[in-house]
Amino acid sequence: MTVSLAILGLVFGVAIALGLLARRGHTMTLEQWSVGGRGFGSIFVFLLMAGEIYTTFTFLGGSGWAYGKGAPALYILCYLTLAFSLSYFLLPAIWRYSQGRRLVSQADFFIAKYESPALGLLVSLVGVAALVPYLVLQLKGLGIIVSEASYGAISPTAAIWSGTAALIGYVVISGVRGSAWTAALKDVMILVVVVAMGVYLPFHYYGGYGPMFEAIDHARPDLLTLPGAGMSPAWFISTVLLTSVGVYTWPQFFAGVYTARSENTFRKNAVMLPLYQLVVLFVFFVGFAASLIVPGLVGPDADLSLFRVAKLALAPWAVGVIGGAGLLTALVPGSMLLITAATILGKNVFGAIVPSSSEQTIGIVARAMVPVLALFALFLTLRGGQAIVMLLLMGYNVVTQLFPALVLSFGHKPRITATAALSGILAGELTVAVVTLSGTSIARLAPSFPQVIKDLNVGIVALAVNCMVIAVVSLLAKRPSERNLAT
Amino acid sequence: MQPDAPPPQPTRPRQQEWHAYHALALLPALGMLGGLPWANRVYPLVLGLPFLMAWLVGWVIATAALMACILRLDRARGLAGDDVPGKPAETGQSGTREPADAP
Repeated sequence: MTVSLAILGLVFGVAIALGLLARRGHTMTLEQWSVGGRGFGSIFVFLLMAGEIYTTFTFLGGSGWAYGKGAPALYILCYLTLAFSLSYFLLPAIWRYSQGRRLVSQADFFIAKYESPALGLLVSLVGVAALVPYLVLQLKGLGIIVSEASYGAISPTAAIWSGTAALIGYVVISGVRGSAWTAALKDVMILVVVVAMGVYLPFHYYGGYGPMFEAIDHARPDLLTLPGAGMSPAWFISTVLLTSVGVYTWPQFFAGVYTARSENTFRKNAVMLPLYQLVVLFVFFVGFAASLIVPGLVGPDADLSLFRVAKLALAPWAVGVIGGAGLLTALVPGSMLLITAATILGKNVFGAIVPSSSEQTIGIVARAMVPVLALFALFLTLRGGQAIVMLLLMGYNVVTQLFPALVLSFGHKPRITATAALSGILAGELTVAVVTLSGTSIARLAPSFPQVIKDLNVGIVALAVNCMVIAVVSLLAKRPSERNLAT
Repeated sequence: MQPDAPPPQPTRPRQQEWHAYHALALLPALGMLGGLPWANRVYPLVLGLPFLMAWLVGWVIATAALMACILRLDRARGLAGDDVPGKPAETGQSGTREPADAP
């Protein structure tokens, strides 16, 4: 136990040290702090983008879902792949537009494109609203990692508190440059840990992948395919489509685009990242292996499966290394999320409400928002009992509503008015809010519909409402001028 | 591409040029998801993996290959060779999101 905690502490110390080192030689203006002065080459951007693939979400949530739900977890592999092929076209367009315009946040992009500060404010609020469940997820992961790696010596609540403190300290000290350096360390560690576990467990306990999956199919025949109802192929397809178009509507990915030095970086990444993320497969292997080795974790507790099986199968020092890798998967993306949300609140919300405030004041407000946001997420973490994957899907439902307005903004000028974009986003978010708060699903709203429609992800419905409202508002706005032409 | 600061010129944004081969990027979505109801089975195991998993992994690898093809074709046309920042637009096509045929 002490060994594993010591390793965990060591990893945290190294992460902080890297953050401090990265800070040297750069004055921390808001632009430096949040987009690294726009001087990142291919490898850094690759690491930053890949860094957001391997979050606690994939590490604990991916194995947890493979353990608890089985095949539906494979959606993670698919949506990332499709998102990368989309990124080949989408990201260079965003990057080109950002050049020479000093854009820092996602809202800046919408404000400039649509010439509408009101839309910018809405986009900012949507972004922060979506980031909160994502942050909660990271904190939940941190809590699991610290308490499990301590073999229960630190209670989950105390673990979440100390994890949050670590995250705040890390972000305030290093900003985005720290993220890129630590991302390199994190990716190496997670690669080694995940591949080692994903190979060792199936071979040690079952004698290989084939025997493992045969054993699972024998013991739990429902685990390896998608069920006929619920998380059926219809659910899978709609969820993959929704989340893959949603990836680049996340404000932190948007801000990540600005950090690049050249647009070609994204094209090369679009080729490499699908292969790179195949490592996720090994995370699934761990979850599947655990399903028969440590059965009995139900509901959100399935997220614990990776650590439970590790503690059973491996020595404490190895558990410490796994915990260290997990700690980094929470700290690096967590810091990105916090920085993004804080920058949005400082620049695009505070700055929009108090337009007279100086750049310096905005920078101070942004940094002050870090602990505020982290503590808010902490409060929600301690209250809620959602599984990690569910939290992310919730965030996706919220943030994907920005996609229609984003795509329709390309070209010399946007194809729709700011009003149409605003109404579409509002209508979409309203649908998401109603559906989420009432805890309903299409199956419950329309029990007589065919199963295929009942299983659709509700986010797709909200997206459809969003698009319809955009179409209607655009048509209504057009009508007067057409009438004038006709008379 | 080494100098530290990219020249912060107010750019005339170069627009995406569309070619027929860009449609290759749609194949992963169509194949991976379109074949899903059919591929939703455990046997035969492929390299020890359940069939559904192997199907999806195969498409992930195919996606990387397809995107590599698109990148090569774009490079051959000088559409993706701009590691030098600020290279001006080649053709000045009025950029639209609709797929335009090769000029």
